[in-house]
Amino acid sequence: MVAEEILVRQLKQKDSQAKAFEVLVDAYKVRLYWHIRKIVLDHNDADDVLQNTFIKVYKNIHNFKEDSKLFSWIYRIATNEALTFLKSKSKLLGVTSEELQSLLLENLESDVYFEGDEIQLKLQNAIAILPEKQRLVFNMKYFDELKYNEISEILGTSVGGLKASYHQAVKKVEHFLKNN
Amino acid sequence: MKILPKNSGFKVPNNYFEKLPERVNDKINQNTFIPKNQGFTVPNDYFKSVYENVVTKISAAEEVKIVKLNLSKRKYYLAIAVVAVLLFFASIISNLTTSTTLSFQDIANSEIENYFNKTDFNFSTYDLAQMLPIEDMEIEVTDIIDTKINEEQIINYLESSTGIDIQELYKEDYE
Repeated sequence: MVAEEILVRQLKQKDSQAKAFEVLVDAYKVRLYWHIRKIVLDHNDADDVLQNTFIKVYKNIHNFKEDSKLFSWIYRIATNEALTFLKSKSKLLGVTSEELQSLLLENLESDVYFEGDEIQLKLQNAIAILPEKQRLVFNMKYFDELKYNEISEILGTSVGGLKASYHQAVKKVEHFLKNN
Repeated sequence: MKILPKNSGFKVPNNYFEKLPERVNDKINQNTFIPKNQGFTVPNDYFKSVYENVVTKISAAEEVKIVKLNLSKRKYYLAIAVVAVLLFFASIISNLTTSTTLSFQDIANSEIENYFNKTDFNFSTYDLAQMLPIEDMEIEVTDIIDTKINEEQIINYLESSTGIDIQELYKEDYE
């Protein structure tokens, strides 16, 4: 992959923008998709949010000040897009965010793009009851295996706070899986 | 005891303490029974089409921006211009055809009463007397009291309540 600074420079220049954007989408699409999918759960929703994330990156690359990594900046956009999507969805359906999580889980059981067994479904139930911040940290640390300093850059939370959130989340998920 | 060295000679690897939390976490993750696979899948060849889908959306948005938005802006300005011209002529025509202008008399009495009833002005009786001179009021004393009072009775009342000799005042005025 082209070095990050070169890619950013190419993205900001009109003549090299199209090619650089293709490289960027290729480099990040899989990781970003899974990050988004874990938040919104449904494939079609994840696809919409992923496309919107890349469109935002394309339109706002000139505002990227390079004081953080490109990867963190894109992840932050993806996270915000996914959370905003969920908020609009709950507003549209006239339900609270907790009720929306239950609805998403119900839909997951009949989702053709979910092949989880009983334990995996139980795991999704356990993750769904976590508060939003803990849910994000748990997904990013446990499944995406990001480092605390990377998560800190993405979510704008201190490393200490993230560690506390992660340990609490692990405890809660384990407790749920043991007792349900 | 004093000759014993304070340094025990033990050493730790470089960045041992900085990396300790990460290692503890890894250990936690190894020991947990939480499954790593979440069971999500994607349609076949989904990731191959992501770039094309995004580019199609961007192009569509740019086309809308360049062509349709400009057209609608033009229409918008045209509509505003037409409405402005129509309003201008309408105001001229209405001024020519109608001679009546709005005045205080046009306000419905009920609205004025309502305004005074609902608004607390905190006027003193003196303020009211100043604003509503008795001679301008189209009322007679008999509108308020049934019995007719003659002048002599009024003078007697004023003399008894104030202690002033009214007849003397008259005399002073003419002297």
